[in-house]
Amino acid sequence: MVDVGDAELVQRCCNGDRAAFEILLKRYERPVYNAALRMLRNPEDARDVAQTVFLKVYEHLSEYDPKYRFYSWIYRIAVNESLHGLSRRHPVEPIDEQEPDEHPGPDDEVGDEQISHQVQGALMRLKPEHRAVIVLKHLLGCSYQDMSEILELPEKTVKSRLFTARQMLKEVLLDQGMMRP
Amino acid sequence: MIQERHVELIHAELDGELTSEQRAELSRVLLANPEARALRDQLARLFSAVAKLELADPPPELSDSVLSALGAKLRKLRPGAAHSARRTWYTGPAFRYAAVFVGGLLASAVLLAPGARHSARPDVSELVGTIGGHGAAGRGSPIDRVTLDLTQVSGAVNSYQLDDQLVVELDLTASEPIELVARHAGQTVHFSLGSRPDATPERVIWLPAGKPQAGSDVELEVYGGGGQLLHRDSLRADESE
Repeated sequence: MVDVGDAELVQRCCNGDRAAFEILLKRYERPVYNAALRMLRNPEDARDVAQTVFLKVYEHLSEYDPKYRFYSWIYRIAVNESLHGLSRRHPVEPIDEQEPDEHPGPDDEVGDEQISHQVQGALMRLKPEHRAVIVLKHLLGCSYQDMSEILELPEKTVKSRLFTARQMLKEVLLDQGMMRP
Repeated sequence: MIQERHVELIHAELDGELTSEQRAELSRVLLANPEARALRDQLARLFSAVAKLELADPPPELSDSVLSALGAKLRKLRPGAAHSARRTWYTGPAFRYAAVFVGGLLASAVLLAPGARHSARPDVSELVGTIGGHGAAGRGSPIDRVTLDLTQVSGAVNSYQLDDQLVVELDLTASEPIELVARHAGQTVHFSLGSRPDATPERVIWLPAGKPQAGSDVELEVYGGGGQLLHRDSLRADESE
């Protein structure tokens, strides 16, 4: 049943097949958890959000409209829950606690782990709606059309938001010396 | 100077969303415009940096905790299942044992049926006994005790052994709806607490079937109203441990 498509699994879940839900859970726990992790940064918060997402998915499966792709639907819930999680935090977002290197080298001389850390820190400096488009595009590999469905925005608006988010992310990374101008 | 359309083409190229016509158009732009080439190079470096954000492995307990929390919701969604489970709780030997235990150890306790609980979440299908009132005296010493001091719930969960019967007693005060999941020897029960308008103490007893299994603890998980895991702990189930 692992090879069964999402739509069929959803149908089976609606008919009370709990094993089908477990497959969906296994299939999506990684992207959902990662979306939340990159939105929130804190692994425990991300785990809580991921759990809430799957419980909501189960509760609302009967409301899922199969004309949309299932992953668009579950990612929408993940993004919304992450934004909700952020809204419960203090209004000031935590910023990267690691100060930029005084003399950073070019990006190809810095370790991957440090780049990852700096990029995550830079992401946290973006507005949540900008962070969300970066996460959807770069981490979850969504297309413009997917993002339009997930965010319930026209594709044109999605592109504009994504380009703005990249510009801002680039500026933060340039500031940190993580990118060459 | 780069036109907005050309910026869009550069992003779309890196996003893998160009049509062949757009690709041809972009090639012409890049040949003619060094600024466009510089922007494209810079964006490619940004993509490369962001690609370093690898997918992390989700915590191994995530799917289990979802399924545990789902257990209670499943019964809520399928009330028939809850009803059939409830029908047996007060007639089985576990209940009779509970009555003896309660009579002997919790002199002032009042036994209530699950359906009579003052709860907005009547989905506790495997509940053995709910004890109203607080301050009952005369208990023996517990095998083990877990003390909870969370914002949402406080109090203690104790394990006792009565001959060969393991007794798990929850003595908790929840200020908001929470769910406590207890597992032992392949058995799982879900307790919904904190649905009363005022935060009054609630005492619940669970008698797992079978003899206490040496080395097998009672695993406890406390979930908030939104299904988020608030606390995880374990309780010894056997005096010999």
